[in-house]
Amino acid sequence: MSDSFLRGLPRRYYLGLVFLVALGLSPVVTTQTQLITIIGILYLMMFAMTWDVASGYTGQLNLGHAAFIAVGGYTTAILNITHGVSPLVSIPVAMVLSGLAGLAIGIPALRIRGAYLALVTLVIPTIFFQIVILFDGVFKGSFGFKSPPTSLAGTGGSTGALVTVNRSAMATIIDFYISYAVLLVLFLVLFAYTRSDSGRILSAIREDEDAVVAAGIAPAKHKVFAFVLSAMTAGLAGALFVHSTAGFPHPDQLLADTLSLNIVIVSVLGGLGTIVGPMVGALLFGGLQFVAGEFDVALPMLEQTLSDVIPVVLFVLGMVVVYYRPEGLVPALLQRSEPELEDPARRPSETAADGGTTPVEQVAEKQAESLPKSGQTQDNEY
Amino acid sequence: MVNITNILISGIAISSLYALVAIGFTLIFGVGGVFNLAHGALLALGGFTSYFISFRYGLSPILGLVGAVVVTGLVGGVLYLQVIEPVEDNTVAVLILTLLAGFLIQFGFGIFVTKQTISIPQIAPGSVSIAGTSIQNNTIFVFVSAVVLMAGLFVLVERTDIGKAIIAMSMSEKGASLVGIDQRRMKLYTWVLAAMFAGFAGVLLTSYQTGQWNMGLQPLLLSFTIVILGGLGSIKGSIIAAYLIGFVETITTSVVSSQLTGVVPLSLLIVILLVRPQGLFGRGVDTDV
Repeated sequence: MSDSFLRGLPRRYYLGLVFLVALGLSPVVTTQTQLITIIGILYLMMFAMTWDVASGYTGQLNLGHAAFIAVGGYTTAILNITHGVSPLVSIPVAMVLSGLAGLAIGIPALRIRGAYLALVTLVIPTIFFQIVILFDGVFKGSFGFKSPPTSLAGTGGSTGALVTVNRSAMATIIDFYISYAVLLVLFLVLFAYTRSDSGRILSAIREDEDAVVAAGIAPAKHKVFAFVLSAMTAGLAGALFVHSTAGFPHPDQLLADTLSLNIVIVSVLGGLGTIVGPMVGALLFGGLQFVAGEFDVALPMLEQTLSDVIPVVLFVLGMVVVYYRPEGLVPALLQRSEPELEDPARRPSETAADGGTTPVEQVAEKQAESLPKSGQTQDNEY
Repeated sequence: MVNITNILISGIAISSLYALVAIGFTLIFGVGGVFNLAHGALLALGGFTSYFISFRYGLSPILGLVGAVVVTGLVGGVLYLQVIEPVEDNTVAVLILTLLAGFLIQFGFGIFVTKQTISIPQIAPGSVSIAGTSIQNNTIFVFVSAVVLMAGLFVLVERTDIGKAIIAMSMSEKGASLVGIDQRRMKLYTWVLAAMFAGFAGVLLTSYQTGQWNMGLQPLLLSFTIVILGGLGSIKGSIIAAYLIGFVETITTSVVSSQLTGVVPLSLLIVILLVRPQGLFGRGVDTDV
């Protein structure tokens, strides 16, 4: 990398680079237990990023992202534990199946929009959980699998990990770097995709779908692709997660109500439709939990410790951000806002020169159009 | 051996409860055009308020019921004025805010009160025997109070100005404004009324089954299913849909397998949305923004 190339980059890229390098150096300064927590944070970052590529960019809220993660996690667990398939095969299979799940959500999402889609997606992990309970022979019910799947790195022995080393601390470090490498790859893929023309089309769909159609671009194709990409990458992250030390094929880890919710909150905190924002949000959230866990103090007046109260702090924080900085913390810090959640009352009116409507009104119109009317089936323009 | 009488009785009771659970959700959606994702949390709030009054302080369960309705009504009003109203035109923001507010309330109970299941004294203890079948008085109370409340709601919307204004708003916001209806006030009334229904339903749910800090999610999904099946903003549709879903669920759980609790309504929801998204009695929603 030449000097002149580096000088051409905006300052925020530097910051991001420093940040990522610092994150990559974390095994140097942490204990093994702390590192396992940090591995968990890496996966939350991946989950949030993969959520953002579909929901943040197209404005179609998916409140059940855990379903995609669970498809990945359960596929690899069933193949690996029950059928003895190597993770090198079962993880790609998990990715493909998650992609199909994304297709299964993405196509109806063309018909069902806005608030409806949000609630439908909220239902999906619940249905998945019921399936896990019903077919407990395959999914091992609410207790999860008895033994862990093949670990990414281990100390030899009977488990037959992918990478074998002598000391378990070393295994955790390798585990961390495998997860970290996948995080970087996912980040680069999603970043490149959202900054490409396709990403711009997604943002345009969020702002004004009619304009996209008028420009001769079919939004349906792009929307479905965004969902498939989101699901595939989430499935990959979910599959790796169960093989890492931080995760386990258990419904509480893959299908918890709070998982999808946390993904939405950290993305909102960081900034929807930025990819970087949700990463930062997840890191903030993870960091907050990490610190609370390290310095766990009992709070006076309450029979609670600091880490018990963290969820409440997070919800309040999320609400404050939606209220005062709807674009999210990262864009707010960078002083460039995305017109996603802006409140018309809080900004100067900006009507297009041709007497058109503001982006906010356009989004509102789109939401109104998405409501089915009586006596006529919804026209399905595809 | 399937007992028809038992299916009928528990079907009627659970369906009446479901109707109460869904009415508040329907009202808010009909008038404001927003989905209140904190609806389930309002039920939890009702359950916990009555738990405090009638269990921890040992007062009468009737007082617990009244207290729960008042408290949830107040919280519903505050929620509308402080959280929803400023961002009302922004669907995404409303969804996220109601979702967070709902979880905030529920986690608040989980963290600061208890993570154990809660139960409250029965509002109507004992049982009566009708035609050789013993029925819990509580079950009868659920049914009777649900019917009374629904009848009251119909009287409200058919006979009073406030009720008519609420229905007018759900038909057309523009039209309602043109005839001089104060939108903000009507929306506030609707939120308070809907929250009161939710609080009442929450108390009944807690007394009929048990309650828990995170008891809100299931009723929320159920309300959504009922509203979709019944048609948008249609109170009558919601009630009919509640009885349909309640009976379908009761029959499948008692005839097929008790493991199917919860799966039936959710699966129905997906099918309905794909096949008939406007529901049974969709009156259509005015699309003026």
